[in-house]
Formats: sequence, structure tokens, C-alpha cells
Amino acid sequence: MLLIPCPYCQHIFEEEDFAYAGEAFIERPPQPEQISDQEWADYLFMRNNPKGPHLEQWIHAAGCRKFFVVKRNTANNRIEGSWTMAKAHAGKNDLLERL
Amino acid sequence: MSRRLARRDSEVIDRQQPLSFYWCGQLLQGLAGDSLASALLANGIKAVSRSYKYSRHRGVLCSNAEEPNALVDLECEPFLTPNARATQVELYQDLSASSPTAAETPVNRFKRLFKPFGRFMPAGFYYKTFKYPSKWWPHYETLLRTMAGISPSPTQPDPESYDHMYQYCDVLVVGAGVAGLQAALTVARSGAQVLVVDERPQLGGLLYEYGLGEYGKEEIAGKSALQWLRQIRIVLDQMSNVRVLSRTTAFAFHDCNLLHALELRQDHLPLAQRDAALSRQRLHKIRARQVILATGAHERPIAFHNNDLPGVMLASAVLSWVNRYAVSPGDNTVVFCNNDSGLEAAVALKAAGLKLQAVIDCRPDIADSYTQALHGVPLFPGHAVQSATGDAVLQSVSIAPICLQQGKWWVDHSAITNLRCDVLAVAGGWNPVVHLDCHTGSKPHWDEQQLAFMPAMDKAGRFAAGALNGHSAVDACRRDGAFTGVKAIQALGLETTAFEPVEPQSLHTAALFMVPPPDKRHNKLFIDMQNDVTVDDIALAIRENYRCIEHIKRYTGLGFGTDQGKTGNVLGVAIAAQIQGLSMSEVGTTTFRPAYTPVTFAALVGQNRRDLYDPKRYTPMHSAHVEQGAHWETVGQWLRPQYYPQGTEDLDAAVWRECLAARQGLAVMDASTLGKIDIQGRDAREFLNRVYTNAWSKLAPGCCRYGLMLDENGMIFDDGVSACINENHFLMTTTTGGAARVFIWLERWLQTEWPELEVFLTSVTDHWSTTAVVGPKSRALMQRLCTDCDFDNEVFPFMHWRPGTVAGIPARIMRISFSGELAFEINVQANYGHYIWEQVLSAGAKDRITPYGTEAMHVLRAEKGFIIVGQDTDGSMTPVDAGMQWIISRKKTFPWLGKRSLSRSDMLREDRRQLVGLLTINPQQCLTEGAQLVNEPQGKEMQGYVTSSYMSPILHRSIAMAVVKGGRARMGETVYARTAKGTTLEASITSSLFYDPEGACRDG
Amino acid sequence: MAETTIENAYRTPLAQRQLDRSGTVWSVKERRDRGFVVLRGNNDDRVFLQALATLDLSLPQPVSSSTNGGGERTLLWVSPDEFLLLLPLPEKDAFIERAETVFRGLHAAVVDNSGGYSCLQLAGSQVLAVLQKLCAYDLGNTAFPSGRVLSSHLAKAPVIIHRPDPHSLQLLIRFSFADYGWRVLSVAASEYQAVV
Repeated sequence: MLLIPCPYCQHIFEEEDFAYAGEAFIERPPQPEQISDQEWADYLFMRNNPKGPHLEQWIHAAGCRKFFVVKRNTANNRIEGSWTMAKAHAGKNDLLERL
Repeated sequence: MSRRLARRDSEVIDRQQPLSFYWCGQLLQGLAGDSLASALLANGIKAVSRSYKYSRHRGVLCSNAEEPNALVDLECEPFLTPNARATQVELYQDLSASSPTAAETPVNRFKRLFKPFGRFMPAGFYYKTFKYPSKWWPHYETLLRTMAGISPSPTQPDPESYDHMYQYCDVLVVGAGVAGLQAALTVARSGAQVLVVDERPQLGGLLYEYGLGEYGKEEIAGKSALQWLRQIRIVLDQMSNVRVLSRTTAFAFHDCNLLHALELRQDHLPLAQRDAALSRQRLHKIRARQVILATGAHERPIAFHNNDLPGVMLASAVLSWVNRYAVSPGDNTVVFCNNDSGLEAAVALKAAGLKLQAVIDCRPDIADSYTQALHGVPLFPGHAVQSATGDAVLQSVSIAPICLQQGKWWVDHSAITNLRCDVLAVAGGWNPVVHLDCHTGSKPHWDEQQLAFMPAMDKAGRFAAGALNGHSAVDACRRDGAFTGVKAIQALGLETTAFEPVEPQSLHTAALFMVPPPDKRHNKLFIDMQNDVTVDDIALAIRENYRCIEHIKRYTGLGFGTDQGKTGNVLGVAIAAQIQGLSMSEVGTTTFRPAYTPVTFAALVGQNRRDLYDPKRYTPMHSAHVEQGAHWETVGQWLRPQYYPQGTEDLDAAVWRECLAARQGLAVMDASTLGKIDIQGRDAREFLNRVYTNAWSKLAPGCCRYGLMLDENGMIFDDGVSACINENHFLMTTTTGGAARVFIWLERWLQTEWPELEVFLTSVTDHWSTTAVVGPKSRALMQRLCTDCDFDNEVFPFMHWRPGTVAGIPARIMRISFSGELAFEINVQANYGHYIWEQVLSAGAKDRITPYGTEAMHVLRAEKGFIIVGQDTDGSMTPVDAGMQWIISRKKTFPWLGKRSLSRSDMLREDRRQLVGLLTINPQQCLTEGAQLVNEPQGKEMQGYVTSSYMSPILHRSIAMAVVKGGRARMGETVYARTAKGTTLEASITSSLFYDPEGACRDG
Repeated sequence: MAETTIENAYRTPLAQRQLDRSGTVWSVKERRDRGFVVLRGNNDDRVFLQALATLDLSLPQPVSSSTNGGGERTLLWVSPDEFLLLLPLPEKDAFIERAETVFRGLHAAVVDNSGGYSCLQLAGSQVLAVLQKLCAYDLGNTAFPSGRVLSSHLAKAPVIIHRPDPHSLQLLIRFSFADYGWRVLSVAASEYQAVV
């Protein structure tokens, strides 16, 4: 059971208070009707599955109900940082480069 | 006959408290402080079970958690505890225990018939023998199941209680042996909060076995071991920042320093003395900032021919019996070892007064100091036990010269010496107890010096101390404990003085894991006692190409038992390495998983059982429903009235009456369980437009609209009516079961994709209670109860809401109808919900107002063809499939959720399953929900299935909804529904709008 | 058939239970005098903060509470844009009306959630031991000092826990979960209760 730092509440809480919310920075295509079925399917289903650092979303479901981005190493479950959605998107390129 | 020895300082038994107990029905005597195993040995009982596969006699091999053989059943129903390890059972007055495998049951007697045929039943025997003919497998399986397993599962509910407790500390010390206790003291002196757990009732670990001896290593910090132990316990007891939990096994180590530990609070007490107000066992969930593992080491046996005879024991176990329990397990003891601790054990046993027949050491030389200490005992360096003999128990061993040449052990089987003995104390080396360190994914590494798998300790926040770290000398363990304590203090960021690290001491262990047998047959060299896995089995697995240790484990059963291979796995790895010419590292270990020792399900569940297994959620009107005699349906976590039987009514009769009341008179339903989300903000309309399929821009305050919600696959996943409260204020309802899911779905889109929208979502599911007043007479009732609202149809049309004061309580009244009848939903603050319900019943009494439940609700909506998400939909139905094209907006410009998927090529297929109605040809026959539909009576090609089916009171016949391939183009066609009983019902495909198609009833 | 009058029509979730227990070891009371109002607005929105000030409320810090109105109004921080106000029940309607006026035109909202909770007040020497069986966090005075707020679970029910003072704890359990919450507390407390 992980201990996860919520960047909004500014405290660390038990994993049970959160729900996992998939890979971070998946962008919904702005014009879905202009892309092919295959491209749409890629958006719906294709996700990275790295063994190592992973940028993912969690929601503090039992607490502030906010979504945020976590960098977790999937091989050893170490959490290397958490960012509010706003900060994560502002620093997105940097976060992705350092992965 | 008692094998009890004279009093000694180290004993943990209390000779002033004799106890009587029952073993297989026989009354025996023991002492307080005995384990069940020590008490049995004190009574001269050595053979305690029969092995699982070959029914061989087995005795007590070890003295603690690693024991594979002495599995017993404690007490009987409802207190039956199966598969308890006798070595860890604390004896209490009137304890009743038995051996499930030794008992004279028909199954056991049947199993014993196979004993002589053991060599025809190696590993893999079951897979190969019971394959043919394959259609007999279910019978084989039943037979094997009755013969398999060790103890029966209890069948009656457990009357004792269990609980959980969360713990937090700065440092958790696992293991209160010498290293652990010292580490705890060192850390505690810094002021940090310390929690210590140990599986045993007494603290001190192997100090009792190896800390007291004669060999000059017994002093701890200048005192005798027992003195040191007594003093450190007193000091720790007095420190307010230290808690010590004994009888508490840390059985799991999870991420982020979360450990689970099971405390046996009352297992050691006689049944009659247990306090029912206290839990019997407590599961501690411990979060520690730093963890010190001081879990010690298990001694390994050495495999040789017939090494499973009762009387063959670990040397450390014999020391336990002698030092802790003052029991001599036998009259003639032989010690067989490959390392110095075996010689120390021999010295200690001799000093304790045991008759040592011989000491066998496979190494060519025995150090002088040992030779002197063992003066008078025949010594056999350069020898090994090549076989043991005895009729049900050990009676003699045969030893032969052994030497190591070019990495291989050679035995001279011609130069045999036979020694009479009834106890063989085997010292085959030490396995550090690495389990907890491995639970989070680390693999231990083989150390050639220690000849052991050492813990990786490669995760932050944890440290190893003592024997886990490879230490064997008692004072070295203490110093290592202090050193580790200092490291933990530093890791906490506190100040401390430095401490010197301690080098592990060598036991000069020889790499002898198996003694080559006399006749080259390896099928009586037992590696895993619990599953009867022999050296031969491992060789067979490798020959059949199951070469990886994980495959060997699964093919042979090595390490599968309740002991999880504590004594056998390392031997198995060594054999596999030898056969394949690999190193121990190359073979590696299998994956270690929780639990370290078995944990009862009851402890894992804690107090979350029966009524408290899952929360039950109640509406404010609950007590009124109880008074009305409601029968309940569980919807998600909610308890909803399913029907309200009157007199001797069954479900069908009650539902019949309730439906007719709703259609013809006056009925009332509690609809409080629906999810309700308050939506406010400048962009509320835009948000609704994006999450629903239909348009919301023009919905005026005071109006309501039904909304359908799709996932991004275009599938229906929730629905409900949303009301416009004000220009920027809406109240959305969801299905009862979907409320939480929808809420998170909406927040996800708002926060991660559309953060620029100014919208606030707040759950008000609990704030509002909803009383639905339904039927032609509902308007009249509302007019009686609410005088400040005009209920005229022109003024208050369908799908509108109005504020009003109902029975004196401010309310929102909504004209929504799930039944198709004239209906008004009275929404008030939950605290008034019960009152409003009562007022409605009272005001409606003269119209024979009828409360109705979920069953009647289902029928009424089905008569109108309304879907229930999750019943008629299964996550793979689009609005087009459901015949709801009308709800898909063509005008909205934003690509709302689910829209794109609706134009996928697969969505445009003609033969998709479509929602239709079914009317049986025989109107009094009712289709079964879930029944498969085919085109011909004996058809095999599935056309769809029945989603909802009821008898309709208003239509005097059955109705059903179903999904059928290309159903909408097949109106009037016949399909057949097959039931599980094999009957076939004929039905005709129709529209699902069965009653009042013009909607005339809606306005009353 | 109606047994209640409008005067006693108001029922808290555990009203029927007569659950109030007083003891030095374990004491529990359901408060019947509080209204619960949710205020939405961003804690870094100056305009919203001004609006709060106009309503005589001060912004609490994350996972903390602020007290105003002579101690009668407590504002709990639930998220950066959600705050739960506990205030005297008779004042609730007037406050909501006033807040709606003050918030008009702002990116802010008022939501009445007074029917949403059962408010339990716990005290006694064994309170922490009881809660230690049900809640995963350290609720002692050091780790959870006065003013702190925690949103988590009580066994399997959602709960908001608030420490108003060093001697007591407040539990806000959702109306529909209140019966379950009460039962898990009772079972956990049974070991410590000398007097029922």
C-alpha cells in the first residue's frame, strides 16, 4: 500500500484514499471527427507501459477530490514526485524529458 | 513416562503449573510454558503425523515456525483451528489436539495402501495418470480432493472476534532476539518511538539455544545471557516510548514501510477463560518511518536416505527442547553437522546431561577446542550419515567416510559404521530469514562465504541486524544490533554517536546439502517434508525440462506447503544447481510472498464481517419501511424496499397490487437513493452539453430534462433527469449504483481536460430525500399537502419543477415519471424525509395510498419501455442500439463525450444487438431474464438474450425487453427462448412500449 | 397515523438510536444543532477571499479549520476550492441567502448540505484507541492538533474528522452511512466500555 503525497492537501495519505486514473498527459484530440477510427482507437486504448518511471494521474477520492500527476517507478513503486494538474501541465515538457 | 529433565535457569516452563491436555483423545500431562510439541516429546510421543502423499511416519523436525510435519487440528467446531503447527501452539489447560493424518479415518487408511508403491508415484504422477479418459477428470478430481489436503476446513461460523489496529512509530523492530532488543534499546535512547514485535511469547530469540553455551561466547556485554535478557526487558518496559508486542508475527512487508503483524491475544488461554469482549487475534497495520529486520535465521537440515524418520531433528530444535522446555527427546543422541554451530550444539547438549552417542562432522578436521569440550564422545570427522533406519521411528543411523573432491562429495559406502540412536540432531547450516525483505520484490543473493542466501536490503528505510545479517556469535549479534540502531537513528535525522560495524563470524560451513545414498536411488531423500518431494523428484522435473526453479517448484510441489519451504527450499535450490551444473546464484530462489506464516481469514477480515462486511446505506425513511413490513433489495450499498407484502402475499401478489395502485389510484415510493450532483457556474450549460448526448443550452429555470451519458466508447453508462434550478445552477441525478462513478467521471473531465470551464460539482446525494407520489390521484394529494403551489397541468407541466411548502416543510417538487403515470417527486432536506413520508401516507390514507418498492418500479417502467442502465445495458450498448436515436443531438458543435465512437465502422453494422420488446405467444408464460434467444426451436446460433421480464398487471400478460441482432428490422418475427430446464418459449419481437403508447396517463 | 408534529419533524440520522454515551473512557454524542453549508470558490482567488471576509469568515489553511462568529461558525478546508461551514442550525437559511447574494457574479457557489451529515462528538480516554481500529491515521494531539481536518474513511465509510480541541474529536459521517458508522464505532469501543 503506497503512501501518496497530495499536492493540494500538502500531506501524505494512504493509497486507500486515492484512485488510480491512468497515464498522465493523454490529450483528447480536439477534432475527433477529423481523425481515423484507428487514430481514435489509439487515443482510447493505447498507453505506455514502462518498467521504470511512469507519469500517471491519481485522484484523492476520499479527500479533496482533486486529480494530480505522480511520477512513480513501476519497478519498485517509489514515488518520485507529485504535482497539481496546473503545475504538471505548465512543466509538462520538462517532466516528459526527465522520464 | 516423562522425559522431563532437571530444572535449569533457561527454562520457560513453570513446574508449579501442571496442565492436562488431550492428544488424539488421550489424556496427557504437561506444564505451563510448554508448546504442544514440547509436551508431546515430554510424553515420549515422537511420531505425530503421516506424510501427505506416501503416508510415511513423520515427527517433529523443528521447534518453531519452520516446522513442516507437526500439523495438528486444535479443538473442535466451532473453535476448530486446522493446520496449526504444534511447535507454535502454547499449551493450555484442557487443550484438545489431534493429528488429521495419523487418525484412523477411512481416507487415511485408503491412502496408506499406496505406501509401498511410492516409487511409482513421483512428482508429476497426478498430471500423467489422471489424464485418461479426459471426461473422467471431474470424478478423478473429486477423489483426489477427498484424499488431498491435511485438515478439514471448519464448517461452523467462528464465535470469536477479531480486530485490526493501525500503528505508527518511528522505528519498527521485527524480532526481539539479542540483535533486535539491543537495536530497540539503542534507538529508544534517542527518544524516537519504537515498536518491537516478536512471534514468540518469550523474548530473546535463539539466545536460549546458542547464547547460554559453554563455549566462551556466552557473555553478553560482560553478563550472563539470561541476566542481560532480564535487564534489557526491564529497561525497555520502563521506557514510555517503547512498546513490545509478543506473540505477534510480522507476516507481510508492503511498500512504503507498511507491515502487517498478527497478534495472538488469546490463543494461549483455555477456551473457558477467553474474554468474549476482547478480540482473539488482532491484525496490526504498522507504518514505520524506519524498519529494523532482526528476524534471525533458520537452521537447514541435510538430506540423506530416510531423513524423514521421526527422531531426526534440527540441532537447534534439540537445544530448544532441552534448554527451554527441559525435555530430552531421546535416550541416545547423535549429532551430524557440516558447520561449527553443530559442534557448539553438541557441546551444549553434553553439558545439559544428554547421552551423546557420537558427533559426525563431514569436514575433515574438528578444532581442538571442540575436541576437548567433547571429551568422551566418539567423534567422526570426515564422515556423514548416509542413511537412517527404524520402524516408524529412528532406531539407528549408518555413517560412512565422506570427502569433497573437485566440487563433488564422495561417500565410501563400503566402510559403514552403524550407530544406535533415537535422536539425530542435524546441523546443516543457516538460512537468514529473508522473507520480509523479499515481499516488496527484492531477491536475496547467495553468499559463498556464508553459504546462505542473504537479504538484498536494497530498499530505503530498512536495515538488517543480527543473524539476518550473517552473525552467529551472541555478543556480535548484540553489537550489530547497536550498530544498526545507530543507522536507524541517523536515518531519522537525529543526532547520535557513531558505532563500529561488526564483521560476521564464520561457522566454516561445508557445502554439504545432500549425502549420496547407498544404492544411488534418491527417492527417499526428502527435501520438502510436507509435500513428500524427494531429490529424485527434482531430478525428474529437470529431466522433463522444468529447469527454472519456479517450474521445479510447481512441478514437484517443493515449497508449496504451509511451511512455504522454510527447511526445504534452499536444499532444493542446491540440488537443482548440482544437477544442472549451475551456481546457487544462477538457480536463484522462488518468489517470496506474504504471509510468512499462515494467517486465518478471520483475522484479515477483522470486524468487517457479517453485517459489517460492507456498509449498508439507509434512506431517512428506513424505519417507516421497516414498520410497513418491507422486504429488502440491496442496490449497491443501499437497502431499498423491494416490495411491501400485506397479509400472506408473496412477491408476485404484492407487486401485482402495488403496480395497479400506481396505475389506477395512488402510490408512493422512496426514491432517495439516486445520486444527486449540484452543478453551478458560468459554464454549467456548456459542461452539461459536453457530458450528455442531448442539448442543454436552452433548458430554462424550472425545467427538467432526461439526460443520457456515454463513455468515450460511445456506450451508455448512466442516465438520469437533470433540473435547471437557475441560469447557472443545475441539479443532476444519476442512477443509485452509478453515483460515485459518475461523480468521478465528471470531475475527471472538468479537472484534467477542461480546467478552463468555470463549474463547481458538489455531491448532495445525502442532503435530499425524495418521496415520489404516483398515480391518477397524485395531484389531488399534492393539493392537499401543499397550498402555495399551483398544480394545474398548464401551470405545472410535465418535466418541470416548482418550489412549494409541503406539510410545512420547504420542498422542491418535480414532475418526473418513471412509471408513465402522473407523478410528483417531493424533495426535502433529509432530516425531514421521514416526516414527509409519514405526512404523505397520512394524507393519502383515504385514497388507500400504496407504498411500492423496486420490484413494482421495475415493472412499471418496463411497461413503458424505459431502460434501466446496468440491467438492459451492459456497457456495450449505444443509444442507437437502445432505440434512442432521438436523444442524440445533431446540433451541438463541441465533440461531446462518446460522439466520435458512434461513427466507428462497427457502430454502423446492421446486425448489432438492438433493444426490442418481446411478447410471448402464450401470454401467461414469462420469459426468464438472461434466457438466450434463437431463431428456431432447436437453433444454436445466438441471436441475443432477455434483459428484463415481468408479468404486467395492467396488461394481464407477460412483457419482456431483449437485445436481438438487427432486432428493429425484425418486428413481428418469432424467436425462441431456451430455459435452463430445457423448455422453449416462443415470443414475438415487438416495440418495447407496451402500455399507453400515446402517453395519455402522464398528465393525469 | 402521523405521530410527529412539525416541531419534532426534524430528525438527525441517528436520532432514533439514543446513542448518547457519556463516560470518562468513551463518550459519544450526536449533535443536533448544526447546519452544514458547502462554499465553493478558489482559495487563491482574491475576489472570493474578499467575499468570505464579507461573510465574516476567514480562509482556513489546507486540511485545517478556521473559527468565526464567536466560535459558533467553523469553516473546514476540504479542497483548494471547497469549504464546509458548520454553523448553528437556526441561522443556516439566512446565511445561505446572504451568501448567495454576496457570491452573485463571482466564480463561487453555495450549496446547502445540511441533510448530508451526522455530526458525532467523541471524547474520553479511549477515543484514540477506538479510532485506531477504524482509521488509518494518527489522530493524537501531536500528529493531529486542534484545528486539523482529515477526509478519509472510518472502516469503509467516508468520513471527515475534525479536532475542535485537545480533548475531543468531531466525526462527520454522511447521513446514509451514519448507521454503519455508529455500528463500527460501537463494536470497536466495546472492548473499552465499562459502562454501556
